[in-house]
Amino acid sequence: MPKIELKSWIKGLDPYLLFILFLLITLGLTTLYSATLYKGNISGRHLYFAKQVVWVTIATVSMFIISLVDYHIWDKLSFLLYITSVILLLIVMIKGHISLGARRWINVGPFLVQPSEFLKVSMVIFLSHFLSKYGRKMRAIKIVALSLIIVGIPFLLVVKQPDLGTAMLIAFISVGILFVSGIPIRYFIYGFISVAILSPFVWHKLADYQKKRILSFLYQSDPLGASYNLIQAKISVGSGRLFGKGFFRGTQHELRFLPMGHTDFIFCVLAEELGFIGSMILVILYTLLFFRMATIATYTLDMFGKYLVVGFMVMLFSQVLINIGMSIGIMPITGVPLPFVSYGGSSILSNMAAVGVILNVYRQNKVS
Amino acid sequence: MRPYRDKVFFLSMFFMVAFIVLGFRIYKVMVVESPRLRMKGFVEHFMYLSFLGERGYIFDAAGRVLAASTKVYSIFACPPQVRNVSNVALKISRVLNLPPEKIVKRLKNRNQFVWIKRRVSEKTAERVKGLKLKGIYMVPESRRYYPYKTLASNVLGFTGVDDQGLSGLEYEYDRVLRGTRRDIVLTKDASGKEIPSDGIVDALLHKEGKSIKLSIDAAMEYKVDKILRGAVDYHRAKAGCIIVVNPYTGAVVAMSNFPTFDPNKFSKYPPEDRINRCISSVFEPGSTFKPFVVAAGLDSGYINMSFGVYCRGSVVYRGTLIRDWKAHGREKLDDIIKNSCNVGMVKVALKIPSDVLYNYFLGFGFGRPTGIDLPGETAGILPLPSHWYGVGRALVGIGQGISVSVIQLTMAMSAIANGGYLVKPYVVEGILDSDGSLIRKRKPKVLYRVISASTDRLLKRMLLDVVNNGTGKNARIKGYSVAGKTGTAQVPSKRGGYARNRYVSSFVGFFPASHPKFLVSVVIWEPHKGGYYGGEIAAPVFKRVATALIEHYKISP
Repeated sequence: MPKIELKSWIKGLDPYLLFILFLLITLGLTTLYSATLYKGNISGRHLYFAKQVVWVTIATVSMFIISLVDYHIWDKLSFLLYITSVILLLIVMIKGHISLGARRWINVGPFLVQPSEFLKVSMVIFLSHFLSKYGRKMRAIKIVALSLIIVGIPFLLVVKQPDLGTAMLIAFISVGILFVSGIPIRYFIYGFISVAILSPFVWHKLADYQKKRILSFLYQSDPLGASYNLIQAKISVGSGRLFGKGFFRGTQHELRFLPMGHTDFIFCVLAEELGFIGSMILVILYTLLFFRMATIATYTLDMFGKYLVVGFMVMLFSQVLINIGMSIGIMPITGVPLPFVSYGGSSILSNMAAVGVILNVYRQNKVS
Repeated sequence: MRPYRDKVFFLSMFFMVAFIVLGFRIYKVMVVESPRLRMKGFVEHFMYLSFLGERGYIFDAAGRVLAASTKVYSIFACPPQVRNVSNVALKISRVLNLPPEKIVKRLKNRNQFVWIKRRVSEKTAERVKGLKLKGIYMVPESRRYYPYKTLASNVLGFTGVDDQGLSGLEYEYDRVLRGTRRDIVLTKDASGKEIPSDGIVDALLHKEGKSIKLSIDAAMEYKVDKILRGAVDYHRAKAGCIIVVNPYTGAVVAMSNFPTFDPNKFSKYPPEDRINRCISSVFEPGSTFKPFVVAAGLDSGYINMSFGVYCRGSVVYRGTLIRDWKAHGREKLDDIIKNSCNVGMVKVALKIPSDVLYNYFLGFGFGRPTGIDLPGETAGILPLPSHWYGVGRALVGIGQGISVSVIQLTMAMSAIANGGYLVKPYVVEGILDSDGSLIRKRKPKVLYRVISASTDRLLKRMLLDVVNNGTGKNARIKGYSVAGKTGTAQVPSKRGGYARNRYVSSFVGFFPASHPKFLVSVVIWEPHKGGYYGGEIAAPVFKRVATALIEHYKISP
């Protein structure tokens, strides 16, 4: 690693991206503090918050370190990362930690780590590598076929876990990068049609709880059964109104009506306490973040770098869309966290790492 | 470089559109659907329990407790919190003496709240608390207790299981006595937890009801009850009533009924034992009504003291023979009252125009409730003069064809006793705050003057004569001037006419006659032994009550 001078290091950072990110994390931590204030006994009340602060710190440091690492190294490591994540998925399948009826976690020291998070990042890197290297050399049909295999293997493993959210995420990421790489639109249409045809067969393969969730998403009945989460989430969001109940004033999560108020449904807590205005501020922050990323991607001429930025952008965007979407009942409920806001180490670490890579792409490709 | 040619541009446009859709959707849920969703959340978060504060006491005139509230505990469960239902049910069933199956059934209820047992003693509640069962709670409630059992029970009334007044004063003053209803909002969470403290929802009894203080004196009431019971038993009568009032204020000192009941276990008595006959039952007053007819005649000037008749023992009016109990011969007005002469009274009544008579009856308070502060008061039956068909016109003179309640008769006679004023009777003298301080005191209400002072003096003289020399001799008390009137009325038969051998014997009197301290009405329904004349049956009862009053209040002659 070359010797870094502080001045040039600072100059190489993207102030806009970092500023937006800082605001998002602050908003996230505050909401998390409120969401977990009534969790557990008195001594354990701040445990969640403290843990998350530790994770944010680790993730921030990681982000800055990664931002210094020449992103081309990921080009070289891409296959290794891909294989590693597939292996990790296999390990999870064999001896993972079961929680909420699905095997998704493995123990690493005191923490539970979700390989799915790692997979998202390595998927982006490997697809970027593949498309930047062969994208212009092969025929589109071949590219699509090979991409399907690359995406298909981990996709099936994730579905097997089962983790519908991550599966959706991987699909979105692949479609996003493929789209930007210049694959003709008709292939996407073919793909969409075949998914529509195949979905009834996939339905039978889904786990019962997944079927229930999708059904409850579609019909929103059975208040104490499958759609309980959804209805509670909507009640929380709906309780917020224009200005919200104010920080630490939300009742839905305080009284534990809202399940997973600190992780998957943290948007509901935010919405209940900060209202429509607060929710819009969050959405606008994300929009600004993605616009900044899109700008970086646009001005990056190096194909690998460009695909990386696009891939991570889509990754983050999809998470936001799925997470907020499920909180207000326009997406099925899946365990996708809200980037930079939800409680969870794996999530913040992988998302910040992704931002770190984007920062490096910016550093090397910025137009003065 | 042209950004718009770049696919990234289209991708960001897609993001933009997606977020706008998201924004609209958030707006819909948070602002448009908000009221509905908020309500839904509200209903889920709170559990409402409604409890009453301790019910106020009822005190007698001397401050004795006639109705008290004792603290009891009601045990309830929050079924979702109960683990191991059969085990919990078994443990509780042993303490509460309930079949375990019944408890299991209740615990399997899907509600947040279910009663296990209402109103157990503090001791039992402690034992349940000692079991330390999860999801089992108790609340303090108050339970009514009547220490003197049957004493004045028909006046006091009783309360139901929810501490609500169901009859008598408990009903009439329910809003005063009742502790404030407090809605306890228990915040609950999704699993139904978060019920306050160690299971006892405390601080519930702070908002107590107010107490009431009666004009009734329990010591006197006790004696009167005993006298009445003795008389009814002795004469094998159907029922009996005694009212003792202060004729100047209308304050009821004693109001006795027999048969009676124990309000602590009111459900074990038939409804007819629980009514307050003194105010709810009507009877044809017969001779006790005669003074009011005479008063109407004298006050209106249609007759005067020189009015005289010759009684042959019967009189025929419009083809109907009206009998007298004896041929009294030549009589003046005071003789007619003294002898309770029917023939004389018919002639007096016929001297007075119907509407004048009717207006005086109304003036004495007949035909409408007296307004006593007790529920279920009857208005009696006072037909309009246009309905006094045929012989009816004459019969009102001897107290037939109209029906009165004991309290009406009492207050009408009080008007004669107090110098001519109709006053409103009452039982409750004051309202006390929960700390025992008097917050409202009754002001006796004089309604209006019925008869002039001069008429009143004449009537008092006649009534004094009744006791001293007439039909009311049995009411005479040595050394005291007692005034009063006897009455013996037949009970109208359901088939029309009058039933044979069914009488209502009455005596209404007051003493000392010049400035009466007390007025006592005695009504004995259908005596079957020892005669039936008011002078034979009711007058001696009056004498016993009056003697008791003299002893108790140390009234000098």
